[in-house]
Amino acid sequence: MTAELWKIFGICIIGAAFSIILRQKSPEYSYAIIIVTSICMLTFVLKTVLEPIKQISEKLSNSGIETEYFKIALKAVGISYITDFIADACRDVGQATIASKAELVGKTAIFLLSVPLLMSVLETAIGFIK
Amino acid sequence: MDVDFIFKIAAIGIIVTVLNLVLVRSGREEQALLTTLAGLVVVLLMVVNAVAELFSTVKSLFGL
Repeated sequence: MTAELWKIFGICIIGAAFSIILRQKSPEYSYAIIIVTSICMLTFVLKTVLEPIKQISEKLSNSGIETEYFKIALKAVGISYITDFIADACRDVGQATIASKAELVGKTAIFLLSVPLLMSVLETAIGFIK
Repeated sequence: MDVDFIFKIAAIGIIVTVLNLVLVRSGREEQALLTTLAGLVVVLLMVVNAVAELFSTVKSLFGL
């Protein structure tokens, strides 16, 4: 990661420079460059994280602990990444309304994902009360 | 995902902008409009492909 840090920062600077060059005359290309630059860096980060996540989930499944909750947490992280990316892209283009709606959709998706967890907590609590 | 994408989009943007300027100066507004449109379509196709690649990466990584 540290070795490629400089490469990634270079990509940042290049994307920003091209974006500023094109902003005056044709802003649509400037937005396209912003989106592609952020995709470039996001893909790099995700590919770096791929190996540790696999190791953690293997360790958890070998130890016999229930991995269902870990999977749900992982899915929530994925949804957050996508939502954040889309909302930022919309906000860059100047559409704050669409960005906030995208965030709303992401929040709802994560809420629906965590309903089983909530249910199990509620069941435990109700069991204690009875 | 590669850095080449950024360079490609920037090159298309600069070329289309210059072409647009030249065509507008020589009084061919329709062709300038069509050039802008064609460049935009090409760039949008590239961006959509990149976004699809990102989505499939996230799907496979987080098990969505």
